[in-house]
Amino acid sequence: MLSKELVAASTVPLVLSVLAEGESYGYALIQRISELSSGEIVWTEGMLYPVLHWMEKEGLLESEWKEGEAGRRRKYYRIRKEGRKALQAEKQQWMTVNAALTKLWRTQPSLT
Amino acid sequence: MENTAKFDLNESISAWRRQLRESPALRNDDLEELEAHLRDSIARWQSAGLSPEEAFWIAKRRIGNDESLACEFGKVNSERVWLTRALWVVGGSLTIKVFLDAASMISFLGAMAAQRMMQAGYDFGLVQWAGRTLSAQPGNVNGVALGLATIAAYLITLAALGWLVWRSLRGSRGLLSRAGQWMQAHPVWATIAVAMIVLCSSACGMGIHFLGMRRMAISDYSTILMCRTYTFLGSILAWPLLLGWLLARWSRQLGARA
Repeated sequence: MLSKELVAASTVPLVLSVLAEGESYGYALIQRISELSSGEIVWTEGMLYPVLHWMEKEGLLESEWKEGEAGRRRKYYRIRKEGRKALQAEKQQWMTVNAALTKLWRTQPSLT
Repeated sequence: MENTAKFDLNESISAWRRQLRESPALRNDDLEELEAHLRDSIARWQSAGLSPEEAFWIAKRRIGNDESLACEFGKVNSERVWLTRALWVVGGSLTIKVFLDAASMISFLGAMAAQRMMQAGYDFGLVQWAGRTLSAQPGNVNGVALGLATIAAYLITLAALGWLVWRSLRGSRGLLSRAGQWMQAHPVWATIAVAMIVLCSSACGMGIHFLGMRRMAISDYSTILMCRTYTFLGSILAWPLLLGWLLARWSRQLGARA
């Protein structure tokens, strides 16, 4: 299970990356991320929404109420141009961290 | 766990939503979104074989508790949270203003009634009592009676109004938040309503003086004014005490919750 700090730090890039695949709503976002991480990334589900709203305020996302299957109304989020730019920046940073750690750990294969 | 009554999923969901609505941090739109999430989650747990009740409890747990939700949403909706606080302050000062005006008006009426009764000869033995205990001159007994009537009417009015407000607030917890929502939805009407309350309240508070000046001997009128000033001074001392009592109660309640 991921530490609290890492969960908090990775929420924005994860949300941006999932929404870059196409629009989605809160519950589906959480399901998708849980699948991708084989259940390792666990959010207190309600906490995702303030983050989504903050990202919308920052202009990274836009939202719209739509009726889904079985007549259920859901708020769908879509990534905006600014969001894609932010995602690029995030990607770069995470890659940097990832590359550095991978290099370090490759020399000590006992630490997996 | 409740296992006595039959579990009603929709009722449980609306109870959960009502609970969340108490916090100003969550807008209607947020509640709508959270409820859609809760329903999706319940449907998923039910399709995994759980009973509606089990699914509801798990979904509710996973979405997070009320306080942390209110806290996190409050960071995004901070403007709304502060507006609600400001509304409480305005409502509170309005209530106090109406309280004081009403108390001052009724105390004046009480004093006027007392004066009438004394003139008509009903003094309830006060003349003797004042002469004996306070060694007041017969001429001053009038003043003593007026003063006592003023103070008594003032205190009784304040206590009665306070009790009324306390009762109506305890009786329906949602009353204030509904009033707040109405005020936010109709700012113009809310402003007019507040202005009317202030105007009417002040008019009543001042109107009674005109009545007093026209109907009473000037010496009686000034006696009442003097007594009222003393009462005001006393009640001003009462406000900090009341505040201290409220704060003490409040902190004990918070402590019990933590």
